[in-house]
Amino acid sequence: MVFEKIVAVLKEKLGDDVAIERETLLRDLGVDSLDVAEILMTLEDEFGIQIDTDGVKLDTAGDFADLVEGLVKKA
Amino acid sequence: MNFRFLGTGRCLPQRVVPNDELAQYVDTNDEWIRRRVGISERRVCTTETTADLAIGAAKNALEQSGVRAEELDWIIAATTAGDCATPALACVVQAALGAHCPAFDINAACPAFIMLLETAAAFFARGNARRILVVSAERMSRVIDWRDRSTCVLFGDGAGAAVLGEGNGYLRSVVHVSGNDTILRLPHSHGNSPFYTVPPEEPYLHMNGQETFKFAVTSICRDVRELLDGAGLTADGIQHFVFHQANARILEYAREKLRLPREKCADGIERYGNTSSASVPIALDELNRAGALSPGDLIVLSAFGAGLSSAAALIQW
Repeated sequence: MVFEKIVAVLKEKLGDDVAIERETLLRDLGVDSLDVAEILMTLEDEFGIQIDTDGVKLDTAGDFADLVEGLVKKA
Repeated sequence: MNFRFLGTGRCLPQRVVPNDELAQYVDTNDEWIRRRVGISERRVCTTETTADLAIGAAKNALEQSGVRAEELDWIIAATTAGDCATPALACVVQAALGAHCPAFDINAACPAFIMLLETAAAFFARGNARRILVVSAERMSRVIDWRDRSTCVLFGDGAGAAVLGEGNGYLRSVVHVSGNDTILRLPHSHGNSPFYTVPPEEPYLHMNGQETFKFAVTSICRDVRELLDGAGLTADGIQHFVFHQANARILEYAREKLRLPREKCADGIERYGNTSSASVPIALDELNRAGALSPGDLIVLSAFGAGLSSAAALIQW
C-alpha cells in the first residue's frame, strides 16, 4: 500500500508513463536532491510522519517505501 | 507610527555571467542550471566592492525619494558577504553619501532586508527618526566556493535600498528563528592564533541543499499564512508577493502551495541568481520603477536564510 502511494507521488512528478519498480534507481528517473526533498515533504504530509534521512540510503523507490513503512509502523 | 517608502533603489555590478561561462570553472551546463534552479545569468563583481554596490543603491533610492543625505537620521545596512567585518557597511555608506547620522549594520542573513524594515519601524515608533535609509548589499561571489558546482551556480551580487519616512505603511510582520549552525553556514577566516586549537573551516558558504529547501518552503508557507491570518486577509487581497529569490524551485513550490497567481509574484532569480538579502529590495525596486506599484497596494515580503531565520512583512504602498 505504501509502495503504491510512493509510485503515485513519483508519477505525479515524473509523468504517468514512467515504469517504477522497487529496484528502480531514482537517479535513473532523473530525480535530483531537491526532487527528493519535495517527495519526502509530500510523503510526510500524506502519512502524517516526520522523516529524518540522516544515514538512510535512498537510492531506489523501494528504499523510500521501506523508510516510510518503518515510520508508519512506529507512529 | 511607523514608516512609508519614500524611494527605492538598486545597484548591480556590470559583469553578466551566463550559465555557459560557469562551465569553464565547474562541471555544469546551461540546461542543467536553468532546469534545476531557474537561473540564466547572474551579475558578478569585477572591480566593484560591496560598499560600491551599497552606495550605488543608496544614491539611487535617495534620488528617487528627493531626500538629501544630510536629512537622514539613521543609516542601517545589512551584508552577509561584505568587504570587511568592521567598519560597518552603513558607516562606509554614510561617509560616501556625505551624511552625518548614526549608522550601523545588522546581521540577519537573507531575511535581513525585512529585519532592516523591522528595525527601522522600531526607531520610527520611538519617535526619534524622520528619515531612515536601509541598504542590503551582497558580494556573494566572494564567499562561495567556485570549485563547488552545487553552490557556485546559485548566487549573484547586487544591492537594494530604500528611503523610509514617517507613515503607517508597515502593517504587520512575522519573524521566526530556529537556531542552527550546520545547515547554512559561512565561517570567518580562521586566523593564525598559535593558541586556538579548534580545527579550521574553509571560509566558504556551506549549505545542505535538501534541508535548506525543506526549511525554505516550510517557512514561506507558514510565515505568509500567519501574516495574512493575523491581518484578516487572504492572498486574493494582496496585490504583490515579493519572495526572496533563492531558487526557482523553492518559489514555484511555495507559489503552488499558497495558490498564488504567477503574475502577482515578483521575479529576479533568472537574471540575478540568489543575491541573498539584496534580492527582496532589488525585486521591490524593479516593481516600483516599472510603475507596477499603486498607492494603497498591499505587498507581502517574505525571506528565509541562515539562522535558520525567516521573516515576512505586510506593507501598504
